[in-house]
Amino acid sequence: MSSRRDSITLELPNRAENIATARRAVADFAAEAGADHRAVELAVSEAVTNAIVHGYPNEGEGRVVVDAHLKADTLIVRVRDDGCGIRPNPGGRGLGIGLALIGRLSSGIKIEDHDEGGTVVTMRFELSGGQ
Amino acid sequence: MADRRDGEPVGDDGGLSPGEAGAAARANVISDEVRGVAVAGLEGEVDLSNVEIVERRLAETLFGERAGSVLDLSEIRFLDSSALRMLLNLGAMADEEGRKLHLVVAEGSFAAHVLEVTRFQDMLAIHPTVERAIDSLD
Repeated sequence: MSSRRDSITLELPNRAENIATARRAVADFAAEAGADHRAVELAVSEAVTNAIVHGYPNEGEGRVVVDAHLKADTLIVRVRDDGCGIRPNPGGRGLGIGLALIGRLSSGIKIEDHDEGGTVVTMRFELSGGQ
Repeated sequence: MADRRDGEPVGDDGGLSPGEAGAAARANVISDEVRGVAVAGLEGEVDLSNVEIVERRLAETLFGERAGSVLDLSEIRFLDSSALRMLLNLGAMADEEGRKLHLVVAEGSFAAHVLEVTRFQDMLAIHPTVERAIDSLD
C-alpha cells in the first residue's frame, strides 16, 4: 500500500534555473494530494520567480525555501526568501502580473514580511479541484 | 507540405536552458516553412531561466523574408508570465515589420490554460491548428 506524503520542503539557491525544480516538486505533490497540479505548478513558478527577482534585485546570493503541506482539504504552499522583500521593480523581466496570477489560480494568498528578513508568500489550494 | 528544416536545441545541456541538465527549464524550437510561411514550434518549458534565449531564437526563426509568422505552442509543457511577456515582445516585433504574429494553441493544452487564466487570449491572434493559422494569412 502506498503512503501519501504529508509535506515536502525544498531549500534552493536563488538562481533562476531552480524555479523549475521547485514547481515540478510541488506540482507532483499537489497531484498526489488531488489538487489542480497545473494551477499549483504555475502559481509556485510565479512565486519563486518573484522571490528571486524582487527578493534579490541585485542578484546577490541567497536562498528560497518552498514548503507544501496538507491541512484538512487544503494544500498550503509557502515560498520564503531571505532577501530584501517585495518592492516595485520596474526593470523586472516579467509582466508584473505574478501576484495577480497567483491570486487567480489559488483560493487564497497571503504576503508577509518574515521576522528574520525576507518575504513569505502563502498560497492555498482546495484539494477538491484535483485532476 | 511542411518543409521541416531543423529542430534547434540550444544551451549548455542541449536545450534552451542555461542551467544544469534535468533541473532547469528546457525548450526546443522547431523551424518549419509551410506554404511560404515561417512556422516555429516551441516544445518544453519556458520560464525566467531560459526566456531570453528562447525569445532570441524565435525572433531569428519567425522574422525575415518569409510571408508570415506562426508560432505553434501546442507542444509547450509549461510557460509562465515571463513567457507571456516574450509573446508580447514577439508580437511587437512583428508589428514593427508590418506583419502579425499568429499563435497556434491546442484546446486543453497548458498554453490554453495559461492564456485563459491570464485572459491573454483576447489580446493575441490564436488559432487551433497551424493550417488554420496559415489560412488566415491568405
